[in-house]
Amino acid sequence: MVVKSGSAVPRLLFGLLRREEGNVLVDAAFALVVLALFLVGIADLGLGYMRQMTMMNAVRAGSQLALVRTPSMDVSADSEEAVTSVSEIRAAVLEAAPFLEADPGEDYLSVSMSCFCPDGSTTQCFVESGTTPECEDRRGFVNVSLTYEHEYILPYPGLGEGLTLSASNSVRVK
Amino acid sequence: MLGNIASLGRKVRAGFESFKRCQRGAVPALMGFTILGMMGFAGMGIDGANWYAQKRVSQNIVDAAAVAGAHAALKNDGGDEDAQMQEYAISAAVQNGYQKSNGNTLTVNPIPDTGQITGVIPRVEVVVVQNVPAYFAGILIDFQPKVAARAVGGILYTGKVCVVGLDPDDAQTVHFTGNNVTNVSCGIASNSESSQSFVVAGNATVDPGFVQAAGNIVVSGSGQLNTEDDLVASNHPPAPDPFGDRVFPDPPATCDITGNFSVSPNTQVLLQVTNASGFFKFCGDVSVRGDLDLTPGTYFFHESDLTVNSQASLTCSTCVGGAGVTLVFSGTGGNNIGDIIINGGATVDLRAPDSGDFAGLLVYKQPSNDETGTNRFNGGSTMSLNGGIYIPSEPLEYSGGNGLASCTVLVARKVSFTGTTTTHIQTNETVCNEVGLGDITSENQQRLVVLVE
Repeated sequence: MVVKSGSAVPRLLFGLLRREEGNVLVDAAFALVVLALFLVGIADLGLGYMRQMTMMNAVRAGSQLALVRTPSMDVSADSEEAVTSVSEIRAAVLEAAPFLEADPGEDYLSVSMSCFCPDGSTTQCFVESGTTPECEDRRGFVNVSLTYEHEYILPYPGLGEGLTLSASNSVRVK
Repeated sequence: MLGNIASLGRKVRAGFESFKRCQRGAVPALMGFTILGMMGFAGMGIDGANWYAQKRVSQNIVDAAAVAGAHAALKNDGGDEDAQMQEYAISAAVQNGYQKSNGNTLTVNPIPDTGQITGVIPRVEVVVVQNVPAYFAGILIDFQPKVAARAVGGILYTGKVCVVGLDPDDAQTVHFTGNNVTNVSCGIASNSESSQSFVVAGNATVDPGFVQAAGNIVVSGSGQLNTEDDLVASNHPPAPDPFGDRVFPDPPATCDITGNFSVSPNTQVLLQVTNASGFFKFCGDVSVRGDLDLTPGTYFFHESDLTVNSQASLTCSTCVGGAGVTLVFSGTGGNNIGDIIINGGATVDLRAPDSGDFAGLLVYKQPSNDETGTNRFNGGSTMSLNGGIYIPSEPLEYSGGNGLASCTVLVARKVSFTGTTTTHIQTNETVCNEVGLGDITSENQQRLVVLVE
């Protein structure tokens, strides 16, 4: 079959190429995809910041409780019912970070105590009878740290599935 | 020639008119400008959020630094307090991520001590100024944003301590055991940094005003520590020794009674202090199995034990109007210093004097290097001791006694509450003033470091 010049199909094709109806729609569709990604990205970032702020406030809440109700640490197994226990501080942190629906576990929310000599070296926090402290003027800190795996709303190419957010606070207790 | 130029001019004008009317590519251009603007706003948002986050980080830093600085004021060891505040605050700031670089500054301003011991007292101000990055804003404007934060740390005086275990490291420095119920209207402090510093065990029930321990506070077994609405602080700075700065006189050189002294059952003895100094010295063990009535004065048990048996009584019927007795256990050191044993069922009713060298003290045991003496106050419900019991280097065992209208302060190397009776340790203001403990029990000795601003 021979298609003669001036036949209907080429005319239609050439006509379509010249027509401008709908080009705004196509442009807008491409632009909207970019815009939507942009807006979702901003929302993702905002959510991340918001959670980061919440986490910082939460660890502060835990530290402030530690100031007045400093926890008992390293309680031996046969007397686990420490009165001012770490669990109170954990509860305070969780209460201040409602997006954490349950205790995320020790790997993500930790309350610990660390003690230092004036020269900055670490030392034991408790002194038992018959032992000599490694230094005078030891200082003890309660450390509250919280880590959260923030998942992106959308999987952005090259950015992985999310961010690891972390917040920590150390408050001197003695 | 001219015609060509005119034709060219018309073509240019026509092209220009056509270009003005042309709408091709308008949308991408518009979107380009729009996206550029939106990215600018987004950049501002990211920068602003980051600065806000850095502000929170800075606030954490100064809060921690202010708290640590206030610990220097709490320590009050006679050193250079301002220098300690600086050092403590900076170390805590570093602990929380402060870096002394990039133009960051941390200023520690000590606030002078006013000597006030009530309420919240601000003691140190910390200000931090940190340079923060301007990721997007820096593209448009050449500037260095800074965030600043300020905090004030201080000391909160919250209450009176009336039971203090002074040992710095022993387990069970304050210990409740047995089936007893102990009501303490004031605070209990254990200065031991042990992981078992303050222990409630067995079936003991403790209802204190507050509890603080330099180590851990532990409740085990069926023990109960009723701390609802009260302050309970482990790993707390040690409480001061309320009698620690007192200087006591030596015992008299001569003995008033040499050799052992015993009051037989069903016998009443009134012991008169005739010496003008008001001192009376035993140089032998004293055993009370009947009724011994002391007159006001200071009784030295020099290298002597005092034992009050069941059904016996030890009283001071003339101790009224500020007059009282002090039982002083003295010796040459080591284990020569005598023990005091008040057995269950004994009737003991004594009160401390309100003045003199031993004002406020009912029992004082001279410090020694022997930490294992026996100091047992097991009189139960018939025991009423109003005054301070100060045994700085030996343990004290206490069981029962004293009603609500009483004033008792127990300070010993270790303090344990045993037995099955109900014990009241109270600091009734009227009684405390009568027995010379008004100053000690009115002073707020429990101190907490707090953020003031």
